[in-house]
Amino acid sequence: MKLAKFVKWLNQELPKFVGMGFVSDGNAEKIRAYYRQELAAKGGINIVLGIFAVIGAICIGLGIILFFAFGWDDFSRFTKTCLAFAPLVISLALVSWAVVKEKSSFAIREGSSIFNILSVGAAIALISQIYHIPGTFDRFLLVWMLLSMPLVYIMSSTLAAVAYLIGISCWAGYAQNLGGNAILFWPLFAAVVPYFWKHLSADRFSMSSLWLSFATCVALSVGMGVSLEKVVPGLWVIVYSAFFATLYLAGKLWFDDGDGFWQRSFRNYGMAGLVVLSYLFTFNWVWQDVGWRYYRAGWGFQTAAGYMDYVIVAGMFVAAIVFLVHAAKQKRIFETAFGVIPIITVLCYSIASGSGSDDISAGIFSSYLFFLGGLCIYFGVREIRLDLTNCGILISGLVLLTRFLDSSLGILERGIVFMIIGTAFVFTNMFLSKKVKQEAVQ
Amino acid sequence: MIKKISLVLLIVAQLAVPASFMKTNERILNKGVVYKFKTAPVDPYDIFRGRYVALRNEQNTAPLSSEDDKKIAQNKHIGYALINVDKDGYAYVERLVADKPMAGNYFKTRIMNYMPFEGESSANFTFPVDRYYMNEKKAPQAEALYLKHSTREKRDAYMVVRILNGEMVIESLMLGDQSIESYL
Repeated sequence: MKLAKFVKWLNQELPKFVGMGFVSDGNAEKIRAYYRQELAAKGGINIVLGIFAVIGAICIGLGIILFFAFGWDDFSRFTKTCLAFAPLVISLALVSWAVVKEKSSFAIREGSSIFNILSVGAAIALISQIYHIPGTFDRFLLVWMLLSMPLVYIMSSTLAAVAYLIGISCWAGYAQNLGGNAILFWPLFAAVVPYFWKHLSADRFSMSSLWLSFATCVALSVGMGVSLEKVVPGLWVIVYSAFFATLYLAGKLWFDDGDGFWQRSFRNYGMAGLVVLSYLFTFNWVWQDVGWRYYRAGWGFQTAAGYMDYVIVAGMFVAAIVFLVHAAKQKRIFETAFGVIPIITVLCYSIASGSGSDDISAGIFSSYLFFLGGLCIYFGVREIRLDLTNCGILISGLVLLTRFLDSSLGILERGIVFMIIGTAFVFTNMFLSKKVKQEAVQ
Repeated sequence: MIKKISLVLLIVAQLAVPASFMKTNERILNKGVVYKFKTAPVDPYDIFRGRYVALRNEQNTAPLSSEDDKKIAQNKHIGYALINVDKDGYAYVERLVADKPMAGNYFKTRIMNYMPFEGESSANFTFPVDRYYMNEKKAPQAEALYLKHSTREKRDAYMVVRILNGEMVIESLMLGDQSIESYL
């Protein structure tokens, strides 16, 4: 956290300033008091308290369950039922107290929300167990998440929203795996969007926005794949490439002025996704048996749910293109080179499904990824950025070693290639480190 | 104000869902008719709800007419199983039908795989009860016990259920004349 780091630094430096006579003792104390208030207002202390409250709520919840489990078999059915409801009633009382008394502290809001979510799940699971109620895990998760979702708004709880996003992602996975469909993931996800939007519009870089951004990235990555009915094989390649390109370009557009890794979660998550995805696309198996010729129907595939696939593909692709056009118009070459992946994917998908050959598509992506590695090195050296340069060398080296070099290549030849890549690493890093030091001195 | 109204709705919903599960099952356990069904338990692991003995009813097919099968197919494969009791006191499904019976004993079930035969056609049905929860330590012992009671010479495992208005709840799992808990 930037402010916390700054205050820590200031507290170390202020005695020196006083000693040198830059500021008086009285003024130094005023500065300290001012930043203590700022830090408290920004939530630094509250967040620490909140984290402890959540850990406490989880420990209490688990402790109660274990306490009951100790003598569970000896209890009557009535006692077991009362015990199943007890944590739920306590947590609801806590939530009600917080709402009625208008308690807005981070610790109370987040702690009581997590305690309530855990107790709802425990109550449903225990009642099911007491009465031997049959049912699938996905239905249990769905009921649990639907009952937990209102907490996000009633308690303004970010951790409840994060828990909800994790829950609906797990539900989507189980629902699809058990032969159903996970189209419901989208309305479930939409339910939390207004809360996310409220935080983003208030402060893009607040702790709540960052948590929600990262949870949204993960939830969409999971939900996107599992909610596809996959009646037309291989559509996931277009969906995921467009999704990661959208995240990356949107992150560059709206969050690039953030500080550090976590404040640019969309950009970093999107870029990592694009690189990993592009590397996967260099393998032939991705492009085998894709397209309309392999249309699937029958058990496990629902044609009606398949229509949603086309909506998702079209929606994600259009979103990626809108951002790409914007980046291209502003002549941001680096972003455009990464953001163009969905178009290359559509091209490769058409080639693979039209010709039935997977070699061409895999070859195109091997060349493209090698080009991206080179581009990272070029921009890294130009902007004197060690992280970007090293990423470029890693990407190029990986593609060179695993995709371009023939598997029958001898040990000597492989050794030479490794040495070349290693030397490139060492010299580029030495050169850039020197440059960075020179810049710092200037 | 909206927050407070939402809070009231949340409290009602969070309490009503588990309470409705409880109420339905309690009513069946108190007012339902008792039946014994021969069963074949095994012991899988359900990570979330602890261990349970998975139950499978010995009988999984019953007679079904082609007219009823057509109706059931239109009704998302939901139909009704009519129950009778044999000379040894065990319950069995006498017939599968599409329409809810006005009287008699029955349970709601999912019916699939219609098998037409010249004499009498039949179909598969699913048994509404598929698990019996036990203590984590006791479930493996329960499985071993079941094996003892499921040999060719000795096959006397059955479940006691209660049925009310087509809904079924398990009351106990029996090995011979004793409940499985009494052995552990």
